[in-house]
Amino acid sequence: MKKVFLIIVAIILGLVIGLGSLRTIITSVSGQVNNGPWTTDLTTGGIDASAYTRASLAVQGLLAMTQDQAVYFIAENDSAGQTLDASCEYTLTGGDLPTRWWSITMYAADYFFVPNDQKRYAVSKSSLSRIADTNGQWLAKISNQDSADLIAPQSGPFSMIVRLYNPEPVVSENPTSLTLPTISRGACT
Amino acid sequence: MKPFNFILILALTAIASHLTALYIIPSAIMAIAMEHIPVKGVLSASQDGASANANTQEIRTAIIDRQGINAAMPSPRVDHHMRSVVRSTPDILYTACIYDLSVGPLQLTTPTKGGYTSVSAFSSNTDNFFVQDDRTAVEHQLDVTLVTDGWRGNIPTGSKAVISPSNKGIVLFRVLIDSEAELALHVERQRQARCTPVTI
Repeated sequence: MKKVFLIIVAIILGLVIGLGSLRTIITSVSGQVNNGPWTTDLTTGGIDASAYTRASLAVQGLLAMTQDQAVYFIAENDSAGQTLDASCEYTLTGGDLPTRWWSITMYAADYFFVPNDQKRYAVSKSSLSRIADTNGQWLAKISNQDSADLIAPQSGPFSMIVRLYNPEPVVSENPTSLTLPTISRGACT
Repeated sequence: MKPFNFILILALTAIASHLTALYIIPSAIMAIAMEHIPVKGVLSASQDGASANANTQEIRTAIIDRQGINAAMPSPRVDHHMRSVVRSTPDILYTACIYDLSVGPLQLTTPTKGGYTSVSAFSSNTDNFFVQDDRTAVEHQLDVTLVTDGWRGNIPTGSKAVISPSNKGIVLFRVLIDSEAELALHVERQRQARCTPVTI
């Protein structure tokens, strides 16, 4: 009787460890390339993607396209390496990127848009080029206040994705050379 | 029970469950998406009547009429009510086709004049096995026909055959909203995307 009990305990512990470790891996942001707070996996969507990349993509970004069509950089930390925290304000600064078109979209911890009546889920090349200075540099404010350019959740972690559609070859050939937007933390409540 | 046997059972269970789930998850999530996209209204399920796109009701009616398989299902612009597919973007107008090639090939067409437009196809294990955009369109038109491996027969003239590694999957048309002022034109282009079963 004791033997049967121990076998059941071993199986339950094995399931917890096996499935728990998989959950940790595929829900974390990891990729081949890190550029500041941004991370990408250039095999995303491809038939040569690893089993872990494929599973992670299914959970975090189903229906993403391959890198010759679009490249996706994900950030869950700011440029100082701290986890993006919705109780803080941030400034997002950057310039144009070597691609036909780009956008930056905000996501709550469940990977969906942050509910807000203004529908400020994203900023893009078309919206930010209007406010860029003479050097082409733009600034967008992130917070959970209505006045923000990107509205964050009321609290908790959040993430952002930079999308580059029809990227120039340098994006996949030398992604660490790109000057991606800087995420700077301001005041926290 | 010896400690070694306990650890052995634990380790084998951990490895087996880890690897089994690893290989099942992509196909399982795709299967769920293929079930939910037609039922829940493609990629968007806006309940906000005041702000929904004007074409929402018309699109939903079309979805119901077509029952969502092997037919183009244009989505209203996504917002925070959308809960079908994670990490979409509001700058893209999506049109999905849940495909099943067991009944024959499927022709995919869309006009492209007016900005970034693409058609991409995803197999049942999530792989993006095909994508083409407006830069390589012929006379401002994308025209491809999905077929199964080994399929023999004619496809529509001018259409490019593309082999799908699985019988079932998802096709996604994307139309970029690069100008809010031209939203109506983008929506008009989005609504011209078609998924048409090829009749022999």
